[in-house]
Amino acid sequence: MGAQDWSNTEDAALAAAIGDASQEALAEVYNRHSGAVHGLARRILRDETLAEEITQEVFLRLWNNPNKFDAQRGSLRSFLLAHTHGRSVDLIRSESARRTREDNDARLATGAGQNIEDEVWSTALADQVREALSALGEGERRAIELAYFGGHTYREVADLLGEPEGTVKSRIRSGMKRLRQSLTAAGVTQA
Amino acid sequence: MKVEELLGAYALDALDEDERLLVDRHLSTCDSCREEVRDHREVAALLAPPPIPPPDRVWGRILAGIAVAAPADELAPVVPLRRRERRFESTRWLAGAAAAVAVVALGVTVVVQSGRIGSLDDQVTAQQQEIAAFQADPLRQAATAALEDPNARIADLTAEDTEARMQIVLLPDGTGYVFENTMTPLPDEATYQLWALVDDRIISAGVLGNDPGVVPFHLDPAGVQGLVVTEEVAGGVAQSESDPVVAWFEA
Repeated sequence: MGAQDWSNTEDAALAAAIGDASQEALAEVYNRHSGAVHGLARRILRDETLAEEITQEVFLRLWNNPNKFDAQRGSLRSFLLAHTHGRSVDLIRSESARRTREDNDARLATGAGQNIEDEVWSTALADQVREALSALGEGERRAIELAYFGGHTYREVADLLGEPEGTVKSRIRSGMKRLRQSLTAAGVTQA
Repeated sequence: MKVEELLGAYALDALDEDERLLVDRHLSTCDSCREEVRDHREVAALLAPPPIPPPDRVWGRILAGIAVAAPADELAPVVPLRRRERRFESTRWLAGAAAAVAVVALGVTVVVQSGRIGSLDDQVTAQQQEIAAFQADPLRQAATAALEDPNARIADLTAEDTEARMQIVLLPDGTGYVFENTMTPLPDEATYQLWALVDDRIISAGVLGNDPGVVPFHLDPAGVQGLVVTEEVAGGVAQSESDPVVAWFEA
């Protein structure tokens, strides 16, 4: 239980230490990723209180079920953000939160738009990500924006855009694949 | 329709429930589709908006949530060398606070007892018993000290049609304890969860475990109009759809 400096430890090793009940390891993971988790939850939910609830839940779940994270299946960051996204979307699809969100939507309508390219600056890789986004077709980009930030199902996206469901469904998939190709070519993700 | 066509929407949580289950089932047997979902999620993580560091209270609540599951004896400040069970480290911050309270309380005990008529042996024995009791349950001592704080708010949560009740004490600095209660223990896969009604909104104040004894939590007392306990799945939920088991509302 001696003081260990975790700041140079890789995420996967931190996750393993959390499995051994190291609170310091959890604190380090929290230091690294709580801003991204909280920022994503707040972006989707447009509500600070709910975003804090989700942030709390995401890190408590990591503590209580550290084995759900499998380093073979991706990075800790994407694991935490995927959980954040899933739970945030669950919440906005629940009826009680929907009203608040619609109110907030109306309030924010004149503020920051849904433009995904404005949103992306979270990492030092922002330029490459922005470039990859610009390589997408407009339809692909809109569909991904509405699904990822809007928390809409692809059927709802199809409604919103007035396009066939099948088209939207395949655009989301092809868009994500194309993004990955661009990012891999730029050396951001691995092939 | 092929399941693969759904993988992009699946990775972005953009499927309806029935389709999501369909993909879940498929992924349990298909390595290449699992890989594709993983790739989509790595890309999605890169699209995440700018980080916004959460306020300090969020970490405080996480610590409180972690401490909940620690049995009281793990909090004893004088026995740091026993078992390496989960969650021991996490309770050190609490153990320190509890130990400080125990020392203050013991000081009072000594003064009172030294004024008594009786043999020295009796006094020593009595003090040893007191010490043993404090060390056995420092959390309870901390909660008792909170209960005696003149600035504490004390809430008795009750049920309409059962005998269940729970006493909660909340200090101005946000330190709170679930104290006496007569709640029915729940199975392992369930937990009680405490909620606060603040400015007409419901916020979670902590997961209490399936058989709560004395449980610490953190809650800013400003604007608290009511406290409610619900039964939830283990680990707790961000938003409850359960009926209150016990509740208290400000008169």
